[in-house]
Amino acid sequence: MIDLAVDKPGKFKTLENYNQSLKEGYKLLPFRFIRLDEERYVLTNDVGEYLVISQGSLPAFVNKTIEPGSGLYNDLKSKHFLLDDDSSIALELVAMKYRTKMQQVSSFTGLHMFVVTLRCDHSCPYCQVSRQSEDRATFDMTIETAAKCLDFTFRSPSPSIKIEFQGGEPFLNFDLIKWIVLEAKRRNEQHQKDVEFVIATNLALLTDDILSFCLEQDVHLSTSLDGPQDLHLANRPRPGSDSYQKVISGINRVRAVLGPDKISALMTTTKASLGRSKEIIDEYMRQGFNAIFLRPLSPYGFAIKTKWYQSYDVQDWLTFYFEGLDYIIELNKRGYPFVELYAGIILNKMFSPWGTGYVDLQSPAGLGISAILFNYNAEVYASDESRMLAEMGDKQFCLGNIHENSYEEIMLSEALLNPIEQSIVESVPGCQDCGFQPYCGSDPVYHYATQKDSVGHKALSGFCKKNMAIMRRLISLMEDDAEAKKILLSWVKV
Amino acid sequence: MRHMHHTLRILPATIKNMQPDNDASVTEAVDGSVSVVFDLQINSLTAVKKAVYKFAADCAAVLSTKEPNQLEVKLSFPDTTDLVDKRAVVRAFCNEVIDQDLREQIACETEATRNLILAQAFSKTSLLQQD
Ligand code: SF4
Repeated sequence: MIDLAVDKPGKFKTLENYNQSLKEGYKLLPFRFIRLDEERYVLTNDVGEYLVISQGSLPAFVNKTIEPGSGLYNDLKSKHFLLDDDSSIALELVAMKYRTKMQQVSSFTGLHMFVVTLRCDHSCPYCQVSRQSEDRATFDMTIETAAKCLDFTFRSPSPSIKIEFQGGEPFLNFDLIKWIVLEAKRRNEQHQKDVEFVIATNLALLTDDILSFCLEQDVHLSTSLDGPQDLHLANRPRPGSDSYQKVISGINRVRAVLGPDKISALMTTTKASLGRSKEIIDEYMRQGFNAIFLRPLSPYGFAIKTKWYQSYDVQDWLTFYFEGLDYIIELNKRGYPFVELYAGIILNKMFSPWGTGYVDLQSPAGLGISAILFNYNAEVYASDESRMLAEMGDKQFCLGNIHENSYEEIMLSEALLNPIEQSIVESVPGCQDCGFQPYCGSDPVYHYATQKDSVGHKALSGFCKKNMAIMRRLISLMEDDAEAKKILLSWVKV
Repeated sequence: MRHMHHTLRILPATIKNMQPDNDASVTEAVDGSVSVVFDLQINSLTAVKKAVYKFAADCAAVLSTKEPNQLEVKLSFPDTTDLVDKRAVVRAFCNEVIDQDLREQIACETEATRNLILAQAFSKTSLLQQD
């Protein structure tokens, strides 16, 4: 009999001991499974390997009746689902792969978001936070606050720092952005980190001065494009009804001055977007983008207050998403390379040896660990969504104040550590033995916003329903359509 | 209005799609609730409980023991659930119990290996027994 019992707390037998005791037959390596459809199961393990097997093969595998040397046996073995006499290095390999996947946790906070103002020239009905106001004193971040935020940023042990400017509309406080960029570069002469800057902007207030500063200082821009003109205008009203013209001309100006790869775009799905995924994707292609992130509305801020969030449910969004995904695969098959970025993130979790840094699909949650946000008023939040929740009066995820609390106080606050600890999917009810767990994560702020509990009941969770459906679809596509598989694999960055 | 408690045993032919892949017996009451009886010598209580948790969005469940080793799970559905959906849920629920049982078996067999892998992954040699 194989004896792997833990003799004393914290003591394990060695690998040699383990291998010697394995005489014949095979032994199961740890794995989880979930039904893919009526006929098939997906098996996954901690290193992210997956294998689809027939319904009947699973009990046969568990009961050790799979014929050694058969195709299924070899697949199970090569993907680390079983161990036999010949697999002497398998455990070390699995351990090494697992360690590599988990490295993101130790590299710590990379993304630092600075909300330089809450003021905005747009009045998007689903917007979470912005204000139409001239009141700079109330809604703009000050230099004193920004300086403290930079002190905090450079305390991060991460060798790569990304500073993202958010709003409101950040261009309304561009002088502060300039100061932060120059000051961060000055400080970095000592720290020698890899520092990147991005401004999230609607581009309506873009000027030549802003462009030349971004060119000189290598600042990237990220904008919002919700689809064709009528849809974009309906989603993003501003005085003069010219938000679409402004964003398109802005994109072209940025490309001409900074270069084609210095601008990216994000879209938000509103009720008006449903049924129009193809048009939205066509618009992205027409504007020269080769990727899109099909995003649902978040259950925070004004979206909830104005009932925009309730205007469609996860199922409606999934229908929209899958129409879009099918269309993108179709475009690729016709020779137009185009990527859906959310699928890309999941595929990277499946096939890249590294974990992805995507905050919502991490275990433990990326709160504070991967990203941190400095609000205009000096409050520090664990994520963008947390401050949106705060704008609605719920400061559950407020970690402190940059003027009043130290780095240690903020990073070790209960508001941060509790949800992180509870978000380790390996121990969350429902996720614990879910076959998709290695590719999934938890989103404490989403679950808190929707269920008033940062762990959340997964059977009632839109986050779970969305991810489960997308993972099932991606795996089914790869199993059933060889050409689609090739396309999906091309989205993996190795 | 409260319904009486007598239950209708559904003929296997009429509940074809509700019938699980295991031996659990399924009956539908006049109030629309469905009772599934599991033999605890075959299915574990934890497996049934985990399945109940997983189906919380579709139905509410009350667990009770009738006879030794007989666990009754009474599933109540929202009024909007039609018969086709109900059958699909009951069938999926029973299959989930089978899956959960299998998961228990796998977890039990692989727990020590998992600990070994984690020890190897995170501490290289420091946690390993030297002899
Ligand atoms: S959230 Fe849902 S899909 Fe993700 S691991 Fe948990 S149970 Fe699985």
